[in-house]
Amino acid sequence: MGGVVLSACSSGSKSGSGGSGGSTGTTKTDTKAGGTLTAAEKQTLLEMAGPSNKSFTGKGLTWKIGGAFPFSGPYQYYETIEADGLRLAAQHIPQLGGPTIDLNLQDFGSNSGVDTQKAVDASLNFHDAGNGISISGIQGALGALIPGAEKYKILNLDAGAGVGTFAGKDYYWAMRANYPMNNVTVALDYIKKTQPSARKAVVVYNSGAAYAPVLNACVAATKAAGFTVTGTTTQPIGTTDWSDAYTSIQSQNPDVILLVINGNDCAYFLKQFATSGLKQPVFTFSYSAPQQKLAGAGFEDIYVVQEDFLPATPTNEWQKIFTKYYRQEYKDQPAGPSSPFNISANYYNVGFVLWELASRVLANKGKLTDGTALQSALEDNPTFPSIFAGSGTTPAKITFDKTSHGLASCPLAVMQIKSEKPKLMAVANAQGSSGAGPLKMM
Amino acid sequence: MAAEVLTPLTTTNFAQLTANGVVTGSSYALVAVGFGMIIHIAHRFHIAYAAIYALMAFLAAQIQTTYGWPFVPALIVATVIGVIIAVGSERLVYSPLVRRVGDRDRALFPVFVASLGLSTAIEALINIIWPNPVTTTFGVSAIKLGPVHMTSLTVTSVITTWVAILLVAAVIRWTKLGRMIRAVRVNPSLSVDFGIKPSSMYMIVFAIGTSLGGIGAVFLAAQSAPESDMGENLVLYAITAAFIAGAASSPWVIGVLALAMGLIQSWSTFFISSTWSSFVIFAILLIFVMTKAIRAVNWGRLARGRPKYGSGLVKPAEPALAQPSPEPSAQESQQRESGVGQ
Repeated sequence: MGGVVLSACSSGSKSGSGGSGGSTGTTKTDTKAGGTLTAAEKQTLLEMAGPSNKSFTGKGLTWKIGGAFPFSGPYQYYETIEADGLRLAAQHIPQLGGPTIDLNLQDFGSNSGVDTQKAVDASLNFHDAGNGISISGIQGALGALIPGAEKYKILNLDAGAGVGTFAGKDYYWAMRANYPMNNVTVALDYIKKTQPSARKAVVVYNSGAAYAPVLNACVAATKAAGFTVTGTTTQPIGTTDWSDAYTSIQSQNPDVILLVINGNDCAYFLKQFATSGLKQPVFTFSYSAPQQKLAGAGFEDIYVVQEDFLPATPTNEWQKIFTKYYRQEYKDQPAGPSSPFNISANYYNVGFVLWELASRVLANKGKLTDGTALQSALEDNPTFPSIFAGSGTTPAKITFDKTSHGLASCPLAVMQIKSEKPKLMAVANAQGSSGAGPLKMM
Repeated sequence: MAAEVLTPLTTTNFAQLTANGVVTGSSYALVAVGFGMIIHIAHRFHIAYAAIYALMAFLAAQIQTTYGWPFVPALIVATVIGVIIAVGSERLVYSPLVRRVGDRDRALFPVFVASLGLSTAIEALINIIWPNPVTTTFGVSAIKLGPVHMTSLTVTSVITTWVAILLVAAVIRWTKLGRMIRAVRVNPSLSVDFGIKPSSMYMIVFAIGTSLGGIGAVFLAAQSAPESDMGENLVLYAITAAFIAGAASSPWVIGVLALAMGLIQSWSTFFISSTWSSFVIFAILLIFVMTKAIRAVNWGRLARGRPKYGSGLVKPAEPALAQPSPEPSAQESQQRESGVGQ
């Protein structure tokens, strides 16, 4: 079973829909084998993440799924970590008796980050290719995929961010806590428990009008948690010299630094932070093996709040299988105890959510190309197994909010980096748009 | 919502931002002097300087990461490779282009376009070879000078920068080589008559200018990590400093101007958001250009109605019967450019 499916996925041939439809985006093909799961691993995955109705697995069907990622430009790294997680799921699911997944991956990257026209073209491509569902990153290519999803009734699932300013949009769903607001709330809960005297916080984020809504939301979440915001320190994306920002932070004399910047910016900030003279605890919401490699000792003692997933010490069997095959297949990515990235795990998780949706649609005698049927299947029961948290063969759960279309519940963790390894300090569930459930100290 | 807080003007903050400005300004100074020498002396709009600058940073980081070499040998090897590429581009691209055009001033734009192509190619090459950032792990320790926090790396970079700039200024001011370079800058055609080969001087200028960039690039990358576009803004700042300083200025003057730009940029965060601090440099350039333009206006005649502009801006019309000055032949141009035929 698996062998035939695997060869189809790893042949390197273009996907059936590639190049159709008038899209100017670049079509990517799958070239990874995904590894062959053992019988025990298959059993575990089926038990933890397989479809709830074992009579409708989609075996023998070929399911065309669209995907929009930045294959070029400064966000190219996100394509690597996001699409690789999805590819791995697409290669494992057929081995488990699911449908053959034919990924139609389109590029929306540009030198300035996101080319929204490419994202619009990707929607058209998905429509022409008969994709009833598409997976995306960079928040639905900053919203440009959403009109197409609504117009062509293609269920779009973004697992890289929360719904943000696109809450409640038909056919657009986000499979992450409302990043970073939920994460900030968990961080502040942790600070209140561990450093009760800390009451003043500074928020460090990207400058520019496009980022102002998130910055303002973080400030609001901080104030709502009872903290005084001494101010915000912003720098453009791509800043490598943070010395003036340190002076700004120093002059505000906060008790704690909420570092909301992402990716390399975050790594550069922390690389220079150790010698900046600042001693305040730093909470960041973006941590990965490449960042750890960049910042090195700069991450020492830094707190990280993100999904409850520590690859070096997986808490459940699903995480173990994912980590094993991801590391085996994607050796070109930075290794280390924080590899693979939590976002890669989330996109792997997405594959299994899709499989569950397919099973529900097939049980209702629907078609996998019908985005409306897929969305209805999601709304009927918005709770799915989560790769994050959980224990043994019992997964935790994520639940979509049917109003906002983001996650109403998602397991988050507070970690502290010690000797370049994340150490679990506390866990909490993200709740709603910026809340968090009770903090459980570890 | 909390607005971005401007840095309060206190003694401590002033001292810290001054130190930051010196570090930033010093990195501008190296590029300004290096790039300024190339454009003022060789008359080459060598915009690929930015890409070669980044390439040297990547090479040093890769050498250090792969072979575990210490900072200085990695810097030297990376800089030597950068110099070879820069001198090669002068020898194989710019110089033949100038010979073809026949005049180095008229060739300024073709050289710029060629350099832009070279720059794009090098940046693309960097992105292909290093799709992910290269980690630099040069040892850095914190240094506290009163209220000012610095690092061993930034202190070393500032000292190295100014030693290098003073050295270059001294060579140009007091050595035979410097006199030859100055002669070529002022009049390459005449220098040929005195036995100086402009083409050789240009290659030396490219080598010196690129070496200065190499020092700056490797120090800057060690503070964070090399980026393929890390030299782009610096070259724009360098153009500003070189333009304001003028062609006849010593490297020392260009360096001090660039340092002042770094300081002003850093101090500007007392008054405006740090987001806009980099625009301060271009505001300075704009004010400078406008001042020049205003000074060139003949206000007396303007008040009387005509002509509107002074001779500083508008060249008087040629007399109808004036004969055009003879263009040098291609062979003459080639001889003067390369120094052949002295």
